[in-house]
Amino acid sequence: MKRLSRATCWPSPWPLLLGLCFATWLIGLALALPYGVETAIQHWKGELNDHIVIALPTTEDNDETSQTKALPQALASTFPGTGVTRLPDHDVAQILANWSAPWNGPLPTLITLYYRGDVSALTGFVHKYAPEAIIIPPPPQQAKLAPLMTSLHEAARHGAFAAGFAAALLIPALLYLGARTTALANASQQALLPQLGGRPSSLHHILARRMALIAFLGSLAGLVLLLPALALLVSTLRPLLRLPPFTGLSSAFIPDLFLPRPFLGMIGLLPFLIAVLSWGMVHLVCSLQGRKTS
Amino acid sequence: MASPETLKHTSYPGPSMIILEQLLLPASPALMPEGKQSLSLKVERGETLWVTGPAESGKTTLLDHIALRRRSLGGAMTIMNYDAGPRIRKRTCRLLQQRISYVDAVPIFMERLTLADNIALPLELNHFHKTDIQRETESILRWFGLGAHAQSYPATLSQTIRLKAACARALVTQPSIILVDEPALTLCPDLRDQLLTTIQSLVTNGAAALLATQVPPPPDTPLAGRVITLPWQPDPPSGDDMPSFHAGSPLSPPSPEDRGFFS
Repeated sequence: MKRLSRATCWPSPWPLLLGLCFATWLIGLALALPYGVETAIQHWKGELNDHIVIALPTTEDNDETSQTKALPQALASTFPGTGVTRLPDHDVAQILANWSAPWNGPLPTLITLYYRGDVSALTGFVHKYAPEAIIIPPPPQQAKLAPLMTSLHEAARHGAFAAGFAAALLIPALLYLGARTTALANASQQALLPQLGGRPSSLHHILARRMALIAFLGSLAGLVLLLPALALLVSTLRPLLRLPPFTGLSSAFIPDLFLPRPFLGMIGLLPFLIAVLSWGMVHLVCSLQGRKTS
Repeated sequence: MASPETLKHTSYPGPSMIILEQLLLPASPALMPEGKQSLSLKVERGETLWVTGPAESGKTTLLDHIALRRRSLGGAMTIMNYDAGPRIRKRTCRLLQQRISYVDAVPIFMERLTLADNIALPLELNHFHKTDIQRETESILRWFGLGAHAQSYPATLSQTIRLKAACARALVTQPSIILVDEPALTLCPDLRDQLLTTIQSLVTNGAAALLATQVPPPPDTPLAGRVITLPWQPDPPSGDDMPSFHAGSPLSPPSPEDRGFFS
């Protein structure tokens, strides 16, 4: 149907392209925001120091070795699942440097464990083995940062809802508008075709294919813009959230976006989905118009 | 009864191309007090029917009905042995429309196509081969003297050229039923003669033609045929019990004496 194809008007490309580009960007943002923020916060929490440190000052007697060896085992058996670890010397030196306290003499022995129970019970237990041991509880970062994290969660949720809602309104409106203007622009062709013995559906197929192509390209453009936008957002928040630096272009920025790969695959299907929707919308609108005019 | 598919490429074998039974047509209240008329007629294969009558007498509406462009208000219509009433299936309607050509008063074109492509379009829609399309299109363009305008767009052409192109487009598929509204028959004598000559050859090959004009055709017209006048005035009952509009079968045509049968 070469002539019939030439006889039909194309849908107006720019409003559709730009509109669907923006709508796809919004959908991607709506889907990525909760995922990304949740993963980033989890990463941030993991980076926080939430371990109890037990410092065993070095003494001159030889009991130190047996005491140091016995305490971790006793802690592990008494408080199972707390991840009792004796830190190696270079970690100890780093921690002491972070404390910014001058340390003269041999390095102390540091034992860390993740304990959320009664600190006084732990202290009593440790002092039975090492009376001079110092129990250093974790800094209260978690408690202080909890409201901030809740706010971040809330903001991400609201942002995602707003973007998703806007896209949910925008996409059907754009598709209907595109389909309707296409059908109106080709109304005379649609009226003439049955008079020449042609099938209106063959005209609808041509129009639907064209509209689907434009919708696909618009949505693809939105997707292409979405990934750099997310990367930019993450890189802006990187220092604030103390996220690890980019590992370079070769590792692709996909892992750095804190988005799971299946999710990225799902977003990749958006252009196809929107193309199918626009295809169906053209058929629906053209059929309705054909019924009204017949 | 032939299947709809066979209509496409074979000529219709039956004797009656169009049968109208009490088909309701609107008419000007100035011509018909009721504002409508009931028409029954039969057009045979190889027959030409001139439909005459003043403006608003229902000529164009009759052609629109036969071209399946309007839904009938009442009565029955059979075209090429298919019931073409309100319950006609879309597929049958489309296949019948492929065999009916209508040169209407204000022809519509695909404005984005050249004149040649507009004329070739019905052939493409009927799935003709590319070389056949080209040959037939060039042939009919030459016949109607449209060669110089072949690559022009319809919007740039005069009404006479558009009507010529509409005639060419209607006849290029060699339809089984040809319907022609008045302007193509009255606007330009040359066009009328070319058109009637072409229709004559198609009618000789078994097509049926309905031509609508306000005045009866002149005696020297190249296309002779039966003439009916609208609005339809049923014959008065002649004695006995005769409610139908004319004697004999309700579908039989009016007698030549009554209806100005010429030729």
